[in-house]
Parts: sequence; structure tokens; C-alpha cells
Amino acid sequence: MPRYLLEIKDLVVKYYALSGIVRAVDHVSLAVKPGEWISVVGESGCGKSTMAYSIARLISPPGKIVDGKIVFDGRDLLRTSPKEFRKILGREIGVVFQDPMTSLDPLRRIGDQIAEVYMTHLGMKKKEAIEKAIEVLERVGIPRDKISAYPHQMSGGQRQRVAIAIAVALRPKLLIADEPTTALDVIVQDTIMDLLQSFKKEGTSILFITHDLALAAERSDRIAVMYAGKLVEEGPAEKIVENPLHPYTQGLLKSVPDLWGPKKIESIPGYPPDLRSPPPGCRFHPRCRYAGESCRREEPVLRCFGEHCVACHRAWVK
Amino acid sequence: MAKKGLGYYIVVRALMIIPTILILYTIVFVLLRILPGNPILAVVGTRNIPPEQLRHLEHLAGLDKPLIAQYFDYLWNVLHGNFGVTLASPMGVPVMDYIATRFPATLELAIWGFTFSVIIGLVTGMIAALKRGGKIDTTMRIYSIVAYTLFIPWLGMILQYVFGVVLGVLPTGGRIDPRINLQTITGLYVLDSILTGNLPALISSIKHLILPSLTLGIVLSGAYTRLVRNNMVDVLSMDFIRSYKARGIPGYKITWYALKNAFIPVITLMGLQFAILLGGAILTETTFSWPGMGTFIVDRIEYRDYNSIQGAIIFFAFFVAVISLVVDVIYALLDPRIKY
Repeated sequence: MPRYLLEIKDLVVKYYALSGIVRAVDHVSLAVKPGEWISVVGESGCGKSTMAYSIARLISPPGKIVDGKIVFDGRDLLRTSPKEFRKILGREIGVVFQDPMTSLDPLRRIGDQIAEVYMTHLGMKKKEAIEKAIEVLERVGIPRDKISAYPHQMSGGQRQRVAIAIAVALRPKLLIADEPTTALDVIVQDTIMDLLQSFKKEGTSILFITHDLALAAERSDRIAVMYAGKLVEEGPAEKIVENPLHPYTQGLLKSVPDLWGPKKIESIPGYPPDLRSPPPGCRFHPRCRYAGESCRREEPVLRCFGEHCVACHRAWVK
Repeated sequence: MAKKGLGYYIVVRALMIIPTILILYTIVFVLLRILPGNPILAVVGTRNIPPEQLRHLEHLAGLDKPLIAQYFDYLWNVLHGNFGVTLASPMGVPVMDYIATRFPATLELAIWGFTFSVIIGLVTGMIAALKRGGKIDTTMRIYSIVAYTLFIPWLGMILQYVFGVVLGVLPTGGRIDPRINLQTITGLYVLDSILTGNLPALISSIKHLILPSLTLGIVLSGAYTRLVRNNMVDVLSMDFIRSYKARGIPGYKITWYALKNAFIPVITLMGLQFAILLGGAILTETTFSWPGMGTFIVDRIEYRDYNSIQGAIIFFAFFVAVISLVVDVIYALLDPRIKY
């Protein structure tokens, strides 16, 4: 078995906007092991979703994958033909999106939308595909009589379950979940996370995109933190939470409220930079309390201490 | 709101046709009486006729009654399915006889014009949306504005000149070659030719239909081009399209699902356009000497033939109202989100 299911190497994605070129993802490398849950954390606009969509080749103009390699299960995804890629996407890679209210076709019954995946990828007949659709629908906890319901007849949580059912219908090796719980309330959020975890237990790798570090910490094996298009820290979840090395990760952790402790919430001062003209050196330095001369001049590279990697001039190792 | 179902909605909508037609009839009635002259004077013209004979003719036509009585008499007749008789040249022919031969002509023109407009609009709008931002998109958008603002008789005459005079491939007027004998069943010539297996009549009636319905179709297609393009662009940027891509669904299928979603508002426009379509048919008919309701109404206005005009317009309005009801029902059946 290969060591990695998915390897992103030096990925660069740019958006050619009228007001300038946005470097949304700037030389990011990330690897996902088989059966692993990895969360990518960062604030809005840090490039985490763009990175995830690059894997599924869902970047459309004005966005463009400029450089890098994405190797999935031994194949270079950015160099497969569209026809071949369509066989991988939806079958070996499933994607769940943020807003369940809009991610299903409002005019088609959910059963037909689920069954379509079986018909497209496995060439099943409609009747057989509907049987399978009912099976997977029940697997995600939705009663079989909902098979002929339209999306508008379901709640947000139910719709997200349907979206997950479609994404996992063919038992993909990798499930990309782009903030799948952000649009849902906390209780529903938890049940959706449980559902995702149950698929992880069955062997599916999960690439979970979120802005919520606390949520990521609960379930992930590993966490990658992105800031302004760069990967700034990456490592086992418990190490990231207990011993964050990057000042940005530290800031993120301090901004999570603690129900049981006396901890005060602190926010990170300032705003993320404009990615059309990011600051020189370390992109976080204008907001960083530890910033020194080298931070303003030199861009830090990702250095690893065992499994824990960080891109910071000032990160000290205990 | 309590769920009352589609049946309830249809009944309510059908009942709303009654005031619509009453208002329309009142307006037409008043306008006709404001026009100078009356049917008898229109026929008599400048000839000298003894006043007592004139009064006798007016009495025969019921024009000596008070206006209010004329208003309710006619209304009463219409409620009993009687659209009255012509008041002039010739006098005394049931208006319904005219409608029976004229209306199918207009309907046939309207159906073809409508089909042309929807096809042209859908294709141009869809292409524009799929190629959005490019030269093709710009061309289609310009087309939509130009088509929308074209004057039907002007476009009709251009087409008549090009295809009828210069190229000589298509007739410029009429419904069918007068030498061909066609047994009418429905009054829709294309359908009748097929039903009676009359091939020469089929070819001739289609040839006669092309130019007028194309004229009507082009002018009406502009609105569709614009609407389809804009809806399609909206739908294509929606999340569920991205979801389809992420499931590995082939592109042509995604385009089809997008088109279905973009089509919903187009159905509303179709209902509205159908009324405009019948109005446009009047201009088209006069341009192409098409023996339909349009030429009939224009012709009868010359004679101040009150009964014919009132009858034709009420019939027309009733038809438009029923069509728009049908469109709304189709809309409800197509979009599962709509509840009544």
C-alpha cells in the first residue's frame, strides 16, 4: 500500500481578477494517508477551499492552477484527460459542499440525484440504482420514504445528509468536505460530524476544510493551518492544539472560547493581507507580536520537527 | 395558508377571467361609440339617403336603442354564446361564422410564430450563456435588443422582398395556393393537410406559413434570448451545478439540468408573450394578407361594425386568458416548489 493516498506538491492557484492577480494558493504541499482524517484550518480567503477544489479540478476561470502536482492513488490528477478524470471524481473522490440548501438540484427528486451516481459510474439500470440509493440513504440516517422527496421538502441537516450520501455512494477513497457543517446549527453539526467519522472508520480518508479549529481538533488525526495562501503549520491534531508553534495557530487557539476554564478570549489584531500584493517576508508578520527583522525580509520555509511542521522564523522547539 | 390544491387554484383563476373580460368589453364598447360615425353611416357613406330610411336601417341594427341597453343586450347575448350578427357589408351574418374561419388562421400563425420564437430564443440564449463574456455572447445580446425593437411590418417586408421577390422561393401572402383544394376539418391548414393526406396542400401551407411566422418569431424571440441567457448564467453559477461536476456527471447532462432550471421563468414569459403574440399577429396578418382575426378586426373597424369587433375581441381575450391559465398550471406542474 502506498504511503500516501493523496499528495499535493507545490500547488499554486491564481485568480486573474480585473484588479490584479490573486495568489490564492501559493506553493502548498500536503499529503493525506489512507484512512486518515486531516483538517485544513484557516480564515475566509486563506485559500483552503481553493486548494480543496483544485483536487476536484473545480477551479474555473478567472481561477487557474498555475503550478504543482496532485497525485492521487498513483495518478497525476492535473494531467489526466477530462474523460478519465470524470471517472475518478464522484467515484474515488467524493465532495461535500458548504451550503446544503443550494447544493442539490431543486427540480429533481433526491432519489434520482443519488441514483444518477450509480447509473453514471457503474452503468446500473434505474431500478437497481434506486434500490442502491435507498440503501445509502438509510445508511446516512434518512428514512427510505424520503427517496421521492424534493430537496425543498427537507431540512438543512437532512439535505446535507443527502449530499453526503451522494458523495459516499460509491465508497470513495477520499472524501473532501468543504465546511459541511458551517451552515447548520450546532446540534445538527455534531450529528453530521459523527456521520463523517463513521465513514472514516470504514476506511475513507477525509479532507475536512473548516475555519473552526476547535471543531477540527475534536475529530482530526492531523491538522494543517493555512494563512494567506500559505501552509503555516501542520502536524498531529493533539500537538497542534497542545503545543502550537506558529503564532497564528496560537492566536487561533486563543480565540476559541473555553467553557470550563478562566481563559480570556483574545483575538488576532489586524486583518489578513490582500493577496494581490502580500507583504514581503513572512505574510503574518504585520499581525505578529514576535515579528523581527528576518520576518520582514525573508519568507520562512516549512521546517519539520518529527511530524510537526511549521513555517516560522521564530518558532522555538522545546 | 391552508393547502387547497391545484384544483382550487384553477377554479379561482378561471373565475378571474370573468371580470377581465367584462372590463375589456366595457373599454371596447366605449371606444367604439366614441369613434365618429356608425355602421350604417359607414356603408351609406356620402350617398344621399332619405332620413326615414336611415332611421329604419339603424332600427334594424338596434342602434336606436339607448347605449346602456345596447351594452347589456350584447353582453346578454355573449353570455348565451351568441356573438351577434355583422352590422355592415354584408349585414346579418353571424359574427361567429367569421370567427370560425378566421380564428384558426390566426391560431396557426400564432403557434408557428410562438414555436419559432421559443426555439430561436432558447438556442441563442443558451449559446450566449455557455460562451458568456465572449464575442458570441455580445452578438447574441445585440441580437436580442435588435429583435425586440424591430417593427413587424418592416421586418415582414424585408423578408418578403428577399425571399419572395429576389429569391422567389416563398410566397409573400395568403395561407395556401388558391388552386389547391383543401378539405378543412380544424381550420389549421397544416394539420388538415396531414389529416386528409393532402401532400400538395401540406407543402403549400407550410411555404405560406414560413415568412409570417418567422417574422413574428424573430421579433418575439429577443425577449427569450435575454431571459434564457441571464437565467442560464445564474443557474450555471449555482452550487448544485458545481455539485454535479463533483459527482462526475457528464457535461451535456449538466447543461440539460441547468437548462431545465433556467426554463422555469421562461414559462412565465411564454404566458405573457402569448398575449403579445396575438397582438403581433394582427400586424403580421396585415403585412402578409393573412386571412385571420387581425385582418378581420382591422377590416371591421373601417365599417364601425360594433358587433364584429366586440365579438372578435371578447373571443380573443377569452382565448388569451385560458392560455395564460394553462401556462400557470404547467408552471406549477414543472416546479415542485410551487404550492397553491
